[in-house]
Amino acid sequence: MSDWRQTLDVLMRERGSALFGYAYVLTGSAPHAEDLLQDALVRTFRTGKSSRGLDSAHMYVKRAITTAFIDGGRRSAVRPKAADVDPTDDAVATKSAIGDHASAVAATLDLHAAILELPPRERACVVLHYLEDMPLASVAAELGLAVGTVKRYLADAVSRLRVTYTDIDFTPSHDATVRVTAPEGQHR
Amino acid sequence: MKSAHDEFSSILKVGAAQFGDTSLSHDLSPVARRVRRARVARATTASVASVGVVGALAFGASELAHRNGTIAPATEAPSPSVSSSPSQSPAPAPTSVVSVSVDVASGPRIDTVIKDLARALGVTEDEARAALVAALPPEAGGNPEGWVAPGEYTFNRGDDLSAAANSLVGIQVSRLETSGLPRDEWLNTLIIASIIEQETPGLNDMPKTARVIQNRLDADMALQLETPLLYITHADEQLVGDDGFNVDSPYNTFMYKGLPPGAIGAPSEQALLAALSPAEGDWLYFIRDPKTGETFFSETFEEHAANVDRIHPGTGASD
Repeated sequence: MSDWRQTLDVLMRERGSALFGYAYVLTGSAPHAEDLLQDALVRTFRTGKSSRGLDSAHMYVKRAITTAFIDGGRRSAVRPKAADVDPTDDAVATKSAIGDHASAVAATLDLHAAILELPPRERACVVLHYLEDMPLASVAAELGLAVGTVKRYLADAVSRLRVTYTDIDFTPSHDATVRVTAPEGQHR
Repeated sequence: MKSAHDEFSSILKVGAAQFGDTSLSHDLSPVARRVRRARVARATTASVASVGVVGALAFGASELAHRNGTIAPATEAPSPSVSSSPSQSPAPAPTSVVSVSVDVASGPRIDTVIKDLARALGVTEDEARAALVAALPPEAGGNPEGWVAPGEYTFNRGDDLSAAANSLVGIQVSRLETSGLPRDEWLNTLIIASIIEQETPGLNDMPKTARVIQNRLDADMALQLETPLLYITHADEQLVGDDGFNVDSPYNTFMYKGLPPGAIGAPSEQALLAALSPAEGDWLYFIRDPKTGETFFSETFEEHAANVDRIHPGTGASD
């Protein structure tokens, strides 16, 4: 069995569900996540990029998921929309109903539905920044956008999400830590 | 206050929990198939042009072989006698010289050699094959491919079949014997030489190609060469689609590591020498420019991808 085939097998056995979960956050549905993950795997393994160990393969696949997702968004923007997320549907319509902790899953689905309303690039920015804890500069590099653009996307997205989800802290933890520790260390 | 990160993480967990239900979680073969197809398509872009050239050469060579193979018309020597009496003596039997041509430019399969041998000696192809297999050294494992050195072999009609077979195999065997190579390495060296022959049109590049093959074998990397695949799919004789290259064969060096089990054509003396003493270097990749015939060797994938980009612009290999 060839190198890449072995790497592919091990990667999917050990990291398959994490990668799938990541694709799921972006796409919001299991079938779409599966398609996206498959595309990303092909993108990664058709070149030699994957052959340098599990971690680097993992990283490349993740990156390929993001790019394939944005490419897909670009392509599907000219096609009729799949009606998998209906803005008038219950999950979205009732998202202001708070305080009921009957089901944490319901709340999660709720937030997810709201994220899925964001356009693909904004969505990717939010996911990379908050889920992957990437600083703005890395998000920009990853998506091939200017830092200013990323900032604007994030600001737009967060201002929309904040209105509904008052109990979620959208302060970017990563950037905050960097800002606090560095100067204090210098000045003793 | 819940952090956004935790919220996103729990969405991820909801998704990850569903992975087990997907077909991707228990069957990666659709992915592997697409990857393999993309890889072969990428690798074969380099050889498409050269297959055309080799095809033209093969056509020319077979034309020549046919002409050589035809029995020369017997020409009666004009009688020196000026006697008026017409010669009543029977015409001397024409000595028909027929040749078997193993032309390296056409990279003939052993099947072509067997056909020529059968035609030359007037035996069936099965008989010719059996004689050739019988003439092989035990190291060949009964597969005559690669064991007939390229060249022109001339036989007389009525020659002993097994003697002819021995002379066909003799040259390659004596080259291996004089090299001093241990006999258990004969087959692998011959296989490598046959690949070098097909992969490298320039004689000067042969030792470097030999080094690439050796380095890849040493590094336990798949060879990922298209010529064994062309050999097993007969892509030099017929059109083979993308799926045809996705063949589960030990000759598919994209799918399996190591050398294919047999040679993929007749290796010349230069190719054999290259296989016996590869050049020094750390190359792992090479690509041939089909326009100039030049071969570029590289040590890293990045360098190689840059070469691919330069030779085949627009394929995006270095993405």
